[in-house]
Amino acid sequence: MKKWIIGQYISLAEVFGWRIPNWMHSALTPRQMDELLTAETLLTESLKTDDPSDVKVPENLDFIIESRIRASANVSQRKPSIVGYLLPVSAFAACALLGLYLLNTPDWVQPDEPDPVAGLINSVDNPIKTVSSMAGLDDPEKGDLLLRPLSSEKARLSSDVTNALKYVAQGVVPDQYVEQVNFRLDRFNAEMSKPI
Amino acid sequence: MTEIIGSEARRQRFSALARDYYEPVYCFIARQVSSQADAADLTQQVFIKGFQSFDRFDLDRSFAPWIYTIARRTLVDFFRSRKPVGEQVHDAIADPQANPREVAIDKDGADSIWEIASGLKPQHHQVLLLHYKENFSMQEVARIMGITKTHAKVLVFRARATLKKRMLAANFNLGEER
Repeated sequence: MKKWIIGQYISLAEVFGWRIPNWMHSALTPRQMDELLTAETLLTESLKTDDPSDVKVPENLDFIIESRIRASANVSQRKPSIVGYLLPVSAFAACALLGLYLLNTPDWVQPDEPDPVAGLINSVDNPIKTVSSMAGLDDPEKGDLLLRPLSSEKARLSSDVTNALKYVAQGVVPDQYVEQVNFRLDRFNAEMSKPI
Repeated sequence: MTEIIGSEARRQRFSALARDYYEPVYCFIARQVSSQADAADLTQQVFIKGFQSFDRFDLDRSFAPWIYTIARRTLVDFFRSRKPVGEQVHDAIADPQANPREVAIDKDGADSIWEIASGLKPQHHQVLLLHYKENFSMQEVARIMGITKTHAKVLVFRARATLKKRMLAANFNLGEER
């Protein structure tokens, strides 16, 4: 047991670089101590000097590694920058095409929306009827029905413009002329609001 | 153009430093893998990884521990990728005596101490190789293995203890090598 403990300590000492205390030397016979020390030293020496024979280095190892490193370097050169990652070339091309198209295109005009009424008429296979061709349009009452919305829109616009002008006139025109201006604006409004 | 020159200069600088380690690193790897083709492929991977991360290498420090650290990590990745998950779980609970290399040694006898050492756990085998074959100090071994110096010494001690047991089992006597 004592020999085993001292043997373990010698093994540790060989790795950790400790010195063997004197009491251990005196605890074992010189032969036993020498046997333990020699075993450890021999193991260390064998590990250092023995060479695994089965390892054969390929003759062209240098060339293979160098060429692989060179290839790797070339690949890293071709790596796109961070801008390249964010904005790929295809995106640039698309933007350029769009820009050229917009520069060379005349002012954009909103396409006429198809008349839903005309669509309905077409859908029942009836010929499209113009206002002039509609029967009975000469009748003043029927004509009024058709033109009334236009007339009321004109009156509304006229009224809005007049009110706006009155508002501006209050701030700009001297007080003694305000009434006169308002009167003229009302008269203008009345003339504009007359039915067609 | 600046990028190309910079990259070429970097490659040359790396090659100048690394050229001396092609063979040692190859041997270090070849002693741990079964085929020479794998060893050659892994060695190439090590130096390509080294080249790609050379920007992060501190030129004031020693190159050898740095490249060996990459080699060790490459080997770890290699062993991990080679072993199916089921086999890893099985190994964790299996008897360490079941190592095929060791079985072969028991059957035919070992020609050298490193042949027996190759049957040790990879970590034990690596610390022995690094310390005794590659002549790294314990501090450098610890750096390569990513552990403390004391832990590295403990690993070497355990590896030696296991190696002695295996030598005894294989009737391998030092000084009487076949």
